[in-house]
Amino acid sequence: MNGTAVWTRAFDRPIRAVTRDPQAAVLAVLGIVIAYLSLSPTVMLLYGSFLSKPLGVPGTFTLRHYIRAYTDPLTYQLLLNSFIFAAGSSALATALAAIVGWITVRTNAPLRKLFQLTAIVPNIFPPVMLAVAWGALLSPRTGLLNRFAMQLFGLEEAPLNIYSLWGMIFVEGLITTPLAFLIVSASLYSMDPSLEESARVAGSTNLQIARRITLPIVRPALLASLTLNFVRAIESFDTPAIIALPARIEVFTTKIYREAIGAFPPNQNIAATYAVSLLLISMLFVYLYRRFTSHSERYVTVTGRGYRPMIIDLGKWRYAASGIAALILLLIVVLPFAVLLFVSLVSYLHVPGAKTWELLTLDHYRYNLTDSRTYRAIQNSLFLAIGGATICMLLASVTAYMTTKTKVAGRSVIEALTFIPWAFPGTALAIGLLWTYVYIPLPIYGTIWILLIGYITRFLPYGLRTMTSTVVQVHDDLPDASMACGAGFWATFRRVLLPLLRPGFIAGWIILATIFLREFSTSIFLYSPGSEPVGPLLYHFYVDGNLGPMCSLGVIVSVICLILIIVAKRLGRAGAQLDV
Amino acid sequence: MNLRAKGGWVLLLAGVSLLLIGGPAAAQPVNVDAAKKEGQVVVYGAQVPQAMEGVNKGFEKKYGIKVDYWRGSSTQVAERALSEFRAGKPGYDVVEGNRGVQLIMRDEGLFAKFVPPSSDKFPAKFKEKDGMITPWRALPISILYNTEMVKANEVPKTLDDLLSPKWTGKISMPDPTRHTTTAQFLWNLSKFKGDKWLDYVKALAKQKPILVESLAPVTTTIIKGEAAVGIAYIKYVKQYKGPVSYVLMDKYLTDPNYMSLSAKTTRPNAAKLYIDYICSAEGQKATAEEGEFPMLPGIVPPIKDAEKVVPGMIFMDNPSEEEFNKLMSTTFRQIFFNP
Repeated sequence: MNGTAVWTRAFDRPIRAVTRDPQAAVLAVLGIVIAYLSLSPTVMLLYGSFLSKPLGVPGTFTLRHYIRAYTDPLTYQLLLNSFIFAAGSSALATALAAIVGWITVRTNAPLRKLFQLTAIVPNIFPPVMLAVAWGALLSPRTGLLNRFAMQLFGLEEAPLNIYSLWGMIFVEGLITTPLAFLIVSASLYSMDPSLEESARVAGSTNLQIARRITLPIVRPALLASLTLNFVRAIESFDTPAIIALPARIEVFTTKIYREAIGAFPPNQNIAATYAVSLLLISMLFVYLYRRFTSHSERYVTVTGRGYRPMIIDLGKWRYAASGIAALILLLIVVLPFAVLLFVSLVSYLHVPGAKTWELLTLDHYRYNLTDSRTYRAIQNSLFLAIGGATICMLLASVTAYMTTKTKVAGRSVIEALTFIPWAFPGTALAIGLLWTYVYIPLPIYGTIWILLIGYITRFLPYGLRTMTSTVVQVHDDLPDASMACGAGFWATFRRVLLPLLRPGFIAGWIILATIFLREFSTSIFLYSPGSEPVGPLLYHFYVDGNLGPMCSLGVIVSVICLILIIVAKRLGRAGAQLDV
Repeated sequence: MNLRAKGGWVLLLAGVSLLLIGGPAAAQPVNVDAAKKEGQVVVYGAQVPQAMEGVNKGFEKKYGIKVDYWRGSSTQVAERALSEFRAGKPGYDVVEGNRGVQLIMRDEGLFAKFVPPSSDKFPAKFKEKDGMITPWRALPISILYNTEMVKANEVPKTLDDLLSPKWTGKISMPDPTRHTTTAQFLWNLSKFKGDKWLDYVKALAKQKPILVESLAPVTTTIIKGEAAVGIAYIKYVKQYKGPVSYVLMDKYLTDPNYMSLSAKTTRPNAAKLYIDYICSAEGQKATAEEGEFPMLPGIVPPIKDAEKVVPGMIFMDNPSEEEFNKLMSTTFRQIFFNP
């Protein structure tokens, strides 16, 4: 057989299949897009870690960077730090989430609905702001809470120091509590109450029920929350950037930052080496997470089983329960936001007192509202949020449909490919993307498009999660009926499926748009001065010590985020009405 | 001899005479109309944005050319400019920064030769022979302190005073493993201490200083009271609001900062006009108003005793790229991170 015949045979079958079957064509395109998005940064990250020359300069294969990285004793220290940090903060987040979840879902504590704000409000804050707020509260010398405690108890030394491993664990734990809450409360909502009722009938006390029945049932959710938050923390650069760098505690992400852009001269090869390790660790834990959740539910959602969880009467203890939930709400929402607002309205950070009246100012807001760099950053972030969330959700919709509702061959490959973005830490992905687009002769490197590609790749799993759970609920009869009436695949998708999927689409869109508007860990590596979004600008304000402009911009971004959510919800509703 | 050959001789003679005189490169005229047509100039600089506002607004008003200014520390500016250049996608027309990183960028081929006509009156010692980078401001470094926390009789008078136990944990300085100017500053202490400079650095590290990203946030940590004293540019006393002052000494290690024209700019005229404006009397006065010590003689910033600072300025030497690498990734990392 000659070469031409081989080629013809190799190409003939797929081409014929595509013309015959548009679903297969869509799947093929989808496969190529997702494979490209997830594989190109992975391959190029590895390439960079083995290359002898810096980013953009031709070089040869070398093991030098791995040898340098893994013969450095500091590497093992940072590995240990990263594990302590991630394990500690995920344990804290899961514990807080379990407490708030149990109180709000399962008890008759007064004001329990209010405490669910713990899970909602933080989604509009830029994540670096929470760390900055806690820095302002618990810095050893200037921390407002520290000073207050020193005055109150006549202490010589500040009792708490945020610039420590414990400080990092505390702040990251608070930042990741909302996600943990979603996972844990979903499982509390959907558990079968008859088991607990039987235990009660059999004479068990509340505590016994909690320990013997409730805990074992929610254990998979707790485990899922622990692993997912572990990954989130180990890949997070928000808290380490604000706390670990000044505290001189090295974790993976600070090391990658230091090597890639934070130090001079930059060494993106070494950064790639560390990023490869981080990617492997993260993949392992995401794999574990999927193992933990595969038996109960594929993705964490509330199932429609229609149980009403049993409400436990806490008697007089219900006020104590409310007090505890209120304290957590205070730590995660009220206190940080109050500090941000305060710092944004005074000339410089000080303990509030008589001096405050002299220092009150709107200068920081005036600065932000008249500064061209701020304007450009907000424009860039809005573009990324609206454009990125829309593209990402469209991609997620088609992928979710393909993987759950069709029986096209090859859909399992696509499912497997989405595993990579799931596990890709933002910092590692960014380094991989830098290595990719330096070599691709398209105007992407150094433009806003590299950020867009980075956001879509990294957060596609978030879109998929909402879309998959929505698509599953659509009954097969509806698209089948459409097809039977002669509509093609695209017409069915556009006119039948998309309207049915709208609630899920809007919900996912809101999640993505609000993440994109505030994104930091990936952006800090990928932006260039012309395409600077809000996250890196906030950080620049921070490193220059311009806390006032930073906090006022943080407040402005939170407001924009809120407006975006309201508008999206309105649009979703308006669209739904039009369909009727 | 034909005309072309004659021309060649003239050029050779001119070249030889230039070499013999060894003077600075000749100024190049700027085409204002072409600059206005280009309409915009993108500047990456290390100057804090609030201190660039006056001079940038002045330029925009005078020529109707928009200035897009992005601030990072000198180190970050160099990293961004180098990475973009190596990738063949430079987004900047002008790069501003201190001498150390400007020389590295120059050697990598990032800049094109340009000597602004307005820099004519700058002191000869600051002019570059190759005309690749143009000085425009000087940055003397001193000790800054919080005026509410440090009593007048306790203010440190020299860098050695910072080694007193009373300042342990209360000093703010940039992280010398991440900030080039600070690495350069510590290395240049040899001008005061000779061979013993490294001992001083080790003693300073033992004081457990609060390490920040660059010199600007040293000032804010002092204003907030997180640190009582710190090592930073004198100019920040004017550029940041709050209870902060500086120590008058007899000598200050000083860093000149430069403006350089990108070799790959698509807006060469606007970029040249911008650099020329910065060096003009108008630009230099606007610069001084913001607290800077400009290059044009006779202009000082509105900072108390600024005129006494000028004679004490000692310009720092520049480590080579390899020396920088060694200092930042080995020497200082061991001293400050593995004490």
